[in-house]
Amino acid sequence: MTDTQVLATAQQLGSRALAWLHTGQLGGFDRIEDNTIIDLADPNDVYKPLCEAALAASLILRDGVTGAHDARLARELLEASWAQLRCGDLLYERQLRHVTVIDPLETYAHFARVGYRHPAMDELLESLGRLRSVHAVEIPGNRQLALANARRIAGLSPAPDWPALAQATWLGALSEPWTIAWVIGYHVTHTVFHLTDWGARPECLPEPMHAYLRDWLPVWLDVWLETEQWDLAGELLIVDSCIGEPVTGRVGWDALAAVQQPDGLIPRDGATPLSYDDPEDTFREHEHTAVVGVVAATVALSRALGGAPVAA
Amino acid sequence: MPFTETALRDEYAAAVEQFSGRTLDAVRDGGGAAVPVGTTGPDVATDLDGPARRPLLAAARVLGANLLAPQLLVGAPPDEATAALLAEARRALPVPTAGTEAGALAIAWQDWAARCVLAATPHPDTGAAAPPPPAPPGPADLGWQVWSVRMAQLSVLALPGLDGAVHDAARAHTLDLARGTVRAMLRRDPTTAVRLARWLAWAQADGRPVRLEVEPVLDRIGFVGDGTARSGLELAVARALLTRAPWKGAQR
Amino acid sequence: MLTQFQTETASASRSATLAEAGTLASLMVEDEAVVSDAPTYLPEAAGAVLLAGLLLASPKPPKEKPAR
Repeated sequence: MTDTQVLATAQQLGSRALAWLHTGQLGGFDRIEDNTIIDLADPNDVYKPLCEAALAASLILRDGVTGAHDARLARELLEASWAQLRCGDLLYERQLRHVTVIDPLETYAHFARVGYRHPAMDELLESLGRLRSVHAVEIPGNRQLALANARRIAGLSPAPDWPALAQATWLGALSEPWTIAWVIGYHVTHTVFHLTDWGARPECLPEPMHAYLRDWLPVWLDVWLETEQWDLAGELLIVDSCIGEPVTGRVGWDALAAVQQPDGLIPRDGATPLSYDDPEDTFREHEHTAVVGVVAATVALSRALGGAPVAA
Repeated sequence: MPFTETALRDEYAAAVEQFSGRTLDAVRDGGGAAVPVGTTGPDVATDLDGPARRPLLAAARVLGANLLAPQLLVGAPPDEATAALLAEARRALPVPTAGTEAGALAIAWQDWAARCVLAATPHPDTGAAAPPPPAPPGPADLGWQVWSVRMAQLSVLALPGLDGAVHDAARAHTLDLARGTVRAMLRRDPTTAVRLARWLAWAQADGRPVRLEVEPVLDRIGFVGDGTARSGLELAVARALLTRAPWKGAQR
Repeated sequence: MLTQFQTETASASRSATLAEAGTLASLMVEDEAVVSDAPTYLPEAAGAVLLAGLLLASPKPPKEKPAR
């Protein structure tokens, strides 16, 4: 059982990060321009953070382990994001235009899970799923898993060959743990997120990968806490909750809590948060880490309370 | 550090390097003698005299039981001249004083190892029957990070024929040794990494399950090591422990 | 231990012995590297990120740190 002090720290960290995200997004940051077209010249600019914030909010509603206040903030974040995506029209149009692009499905799945449906998108996804092409797109292993998990959440058939997909990742190879690079760290975390559906299905992680992570997660967390890579360290904490009984204890939580600012901002790296003249730039700089903080806390609390119900 | 002490350290470190290189060659030869040419012969003590001898003794003091590794690794009798030099170094230079309790304990265990390997030679220490130092704190007390760094400082104990409380800890905590190794590799600290990999090699040779493949780690350190003969010796000992396994740890 | 080094009345030979003991100890008990050189973001390793297109809930590359 996760120790209660860890849970208290996690709860406070996540709650404050959520408030910071909520303030920024509903305060006007991350606006998709009205004239945005579906090609999204730079999807990383606004679209990606918007979708990520929605993911965090959807997990809060999925797991139902926060208080009423945080649940309300999460619902408001989702409402605002859904409105910006024009109630799914933007996702639908992007998916319609780009048959093999994954991100519209990936984003839609998280909305759909908590009740935001777009009937035309559902039909389109069913139709695209029958194409060999969609399943044969050449993308890295952890992205294949993202596709598979999004289809699982959205209730699309056919079911993929999960063991084969898991095997085709850096983690699945049980790679020599000392060869991990910063970017591979993110590949590993995402492999686990998608295999376990963000902690809802720890049993879906193949046992050799589970044992491997229990061995090496503490090392990776230690190394990247020492070098103040808070964003990656936070993702490793999510992984620690996703795999069942956590193995890294309180050290990561304490470190993240210690660098979190009074307003809830968690610096992505370094002792003090990088800040810009334009507050929106500062928001963008640290937005991903806030998402990580919210998800980490949500999954940790949910797992400690016995696991999230998986939405049908 | 005052200049004179820096100079002294440089001088002794150079001697350690030189002596490490000789020992490394001897390990590669499969059991040759580590004592430098010119110091062997019937009267070791007089072959190399004066100011030049002091750094040699200091290096012997620092390398300790490692000096007899070439023979220990192949089960051969310890080289006579090398043993004589090590015994002399231990007489001439008292147990060095460390600034911390942990450092003092590490030195005490290193000295214990030297005493043990000399016990099987014609140069046993007068204190050979003295009890071993107290068992160092384990990973439960220190955390695996600090504990593994302390084990790296005791890598000279990872030799055939030595067995004690430190070895029991290594046997019991191979995952923590492996974690320490991976941590050192990722921090790009090959000096610490190779010493921990030596412990892993020892544990594997001892028949313990080791959760990290040791050979690829040693191969990697071969490319990215710190380039010193002293670390080269650690690496060669680790390789020898692996390739000459399984030897049986000495019965206490 | 440390105060002995600073004792003015210590004889020269005694000081030499202490210095020697300290030197030997520092060679026998070496600490780990003080500064970690752990892997961090590398532009040349980021090709995979760009090629992967949109990686939900993974970071964008750090920006150049502006002068504060």
